[in-house]
Amino acid sequence: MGVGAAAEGIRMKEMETKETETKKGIREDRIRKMEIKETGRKEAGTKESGIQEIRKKEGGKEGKIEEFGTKENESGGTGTKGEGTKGIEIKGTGTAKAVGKEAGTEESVYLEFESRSHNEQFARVVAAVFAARLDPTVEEIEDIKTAVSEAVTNAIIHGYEIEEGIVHMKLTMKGQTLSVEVRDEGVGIADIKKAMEPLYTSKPSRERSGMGFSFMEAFMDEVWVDSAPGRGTTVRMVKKLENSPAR
Amino acid sequence: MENGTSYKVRGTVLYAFMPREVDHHSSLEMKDGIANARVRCPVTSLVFDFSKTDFMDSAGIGMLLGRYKEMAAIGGEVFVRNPSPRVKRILEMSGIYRIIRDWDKRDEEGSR
Repeated sequence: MGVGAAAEGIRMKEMETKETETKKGIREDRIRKMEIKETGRKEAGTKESGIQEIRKKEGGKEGKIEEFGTKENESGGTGTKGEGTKGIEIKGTGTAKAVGKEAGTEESVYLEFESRSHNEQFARVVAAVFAARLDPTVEEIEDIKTAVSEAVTNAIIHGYEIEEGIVHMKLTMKGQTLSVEVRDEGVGIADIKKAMEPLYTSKPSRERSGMGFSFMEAFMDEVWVDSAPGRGTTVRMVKKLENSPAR
Repeated sequence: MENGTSYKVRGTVLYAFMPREVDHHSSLEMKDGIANARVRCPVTSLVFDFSKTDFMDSAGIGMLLGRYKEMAAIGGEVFVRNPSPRVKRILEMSGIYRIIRDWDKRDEEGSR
């Protein structure tokens, strides 16, 4: 029985109850509550967000995405999944929000996490899963993971040093192009050109190889860095994934 | 010992079996693990075995370089072993083969 009919039926029942005078107050209440509940569900029906949960398994294995479908008119709408805006909660040591733009060629996912080193792996996994939709080769996935790892590690070690902060990552896909933006609100870079020089590191005592930017540039098509002392750093990287018909 | 990395000592050689992912996070743990192992067993060769490793970034290179400097200071040496093609590519890109060699080819000329 559809929601509409059920609500109608319940409302009629309530009228009857009032007419027959003081039935047990309890029964009246119950009916009224049922009506509210049914109506409520109907209203929430049409364009409710789909919910996705990304879980990180113990032991740092690959994360898994579970999709809990869109709730549309529960009582009988066939509705299509994924219409409208999706909200995503990611549980971890930070929180994440994902916003899917409807039907357009561009879609983004935002991830925010605390600047702790164990989140480097978390960020890699999220990027890999996101990029997987573009049907990449194994090598392309590895390249993306490595570049993300470099950028995120820099945000944690250089951006925030020993302080705690939030690292922001935005993943965007447009056609076959993936773009990754890693941003911190940390110390910023005084001399970007020097920072990007191969083998240069401002922290030799922390066993940094000075190769982070070199690796990013090697594995992604383009890398841009936007930074100023005291104003944080944004690293943006773009990679076009080749779409092989053989796959 | 700690998560993912295990160690074995044979004579004057310390073998470190690297975890599946070698990044800044796991490198921090490894640095301590190796330091502890060396305190207990003085060795002159460090062999990093990458049999289990399928991911490495430049933090891993930094860790290797750090260990190379420590060993070089006592006249010791650092080697790598069993890198996957991907890991080998990272090692080659970093140029680290100029100063460390492949353990299984250590007797060969110009071993990599």
